[in-house]
Amino acid sequence: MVRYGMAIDLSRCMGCRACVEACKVENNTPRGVFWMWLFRFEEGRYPNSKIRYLSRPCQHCDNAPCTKVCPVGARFKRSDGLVLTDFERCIGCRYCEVACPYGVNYFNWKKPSKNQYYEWEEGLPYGNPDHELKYEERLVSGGNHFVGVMGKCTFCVHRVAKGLKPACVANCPVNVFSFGDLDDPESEVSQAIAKKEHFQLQIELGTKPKVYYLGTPLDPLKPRKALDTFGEEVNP
Amino acid sequence: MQGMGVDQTYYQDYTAFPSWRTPTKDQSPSDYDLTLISYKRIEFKQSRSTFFPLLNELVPKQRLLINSATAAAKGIGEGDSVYVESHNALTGETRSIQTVAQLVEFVRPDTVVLHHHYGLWVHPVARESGPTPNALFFTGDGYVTNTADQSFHVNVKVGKVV
Repeated sequence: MVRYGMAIDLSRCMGCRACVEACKVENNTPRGVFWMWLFRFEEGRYPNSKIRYLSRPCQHCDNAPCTKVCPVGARFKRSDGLVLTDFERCIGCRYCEVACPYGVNYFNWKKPSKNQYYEWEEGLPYGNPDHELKYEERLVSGGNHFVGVMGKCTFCVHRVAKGLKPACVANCPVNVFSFGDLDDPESEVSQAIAKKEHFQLQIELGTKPKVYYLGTPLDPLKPRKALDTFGEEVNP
Repeated sequence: MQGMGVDQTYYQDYTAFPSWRTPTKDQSPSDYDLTLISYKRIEFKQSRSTFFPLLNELVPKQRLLINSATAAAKGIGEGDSVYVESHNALTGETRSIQTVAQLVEFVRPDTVVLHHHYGLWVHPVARESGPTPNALFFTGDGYVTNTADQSFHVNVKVGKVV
């Protein structure tokens, strides 16, 4: 059985946010909803400061805390390791948002037609038709089905079903991402992890995330400041 | 230019061979102590993409990037409204815009930075984004000339709006 995972090479990333935009366009997520987000921050003091970047998709934890708190079984983990939301079951209690230590859940506060960058009278003039399909008999893909449900990164389940890579992986101009089967030692992602120093986010919580970051772990003692800190900015 | 009070015309800027002189901006008074540069953000292409809602959402506002030590010396804090006033050393003309300060470490202490892309005033998505740094640069003798020398080098003073 495959176990999908991702490796993100921080030494290659230049912070262009093409992954963020690819995700938004592919999944039709509403305004202010970023299933993929890229943090930009600087470390150190002038003149020894350095700008660093950190992409943050859903970590698709093997031991996902969000699935355990869902009272209706809408948040579930598939046998191939993807942690998904069944939008037809979700009641919008937002427990998963509280349980997740990575902040990847985004609540759909508005009607789909009222929050897709412009206000539309009825329906939307554009949309990815793949999101109307069901995968393993559940409505799990796409970011703008109903008001009042929780959404998050699906590792592009509709693309994975076709044998394609997630949109962020496919769109990265400098090949930061590797995606594939973690259980297959010959897969692209396993090879990437094996070759380089890597770390994962908040493993001390026992969530067993399936997203690996290649590069030096962040030094907790260094002064660090986010570069996107403004209130006007829609920032998770 | 002479009508505006310039008594020295920069003929040397129009030679066939490269020449060098001290930048015109260095003749500005000492209270215009910072050099202004404008730079391109990675999200945008010139000024023609700030009205694209997906990109405008990422970086919706103009801001003045200023070294935190410089800002502390001027009493400017993170998110404060600041004015940026440029000075034409030849004519004495000043131009001013107002924006919001962001304290960073990657900018030199003698330099301030404004994003190049903003300043559209009609498009409903982009018109609230803030002023353009081009409003502070001068054209004409001593600054941006036909040979493109001295381009976009101007001294500014920055202060908190009270």
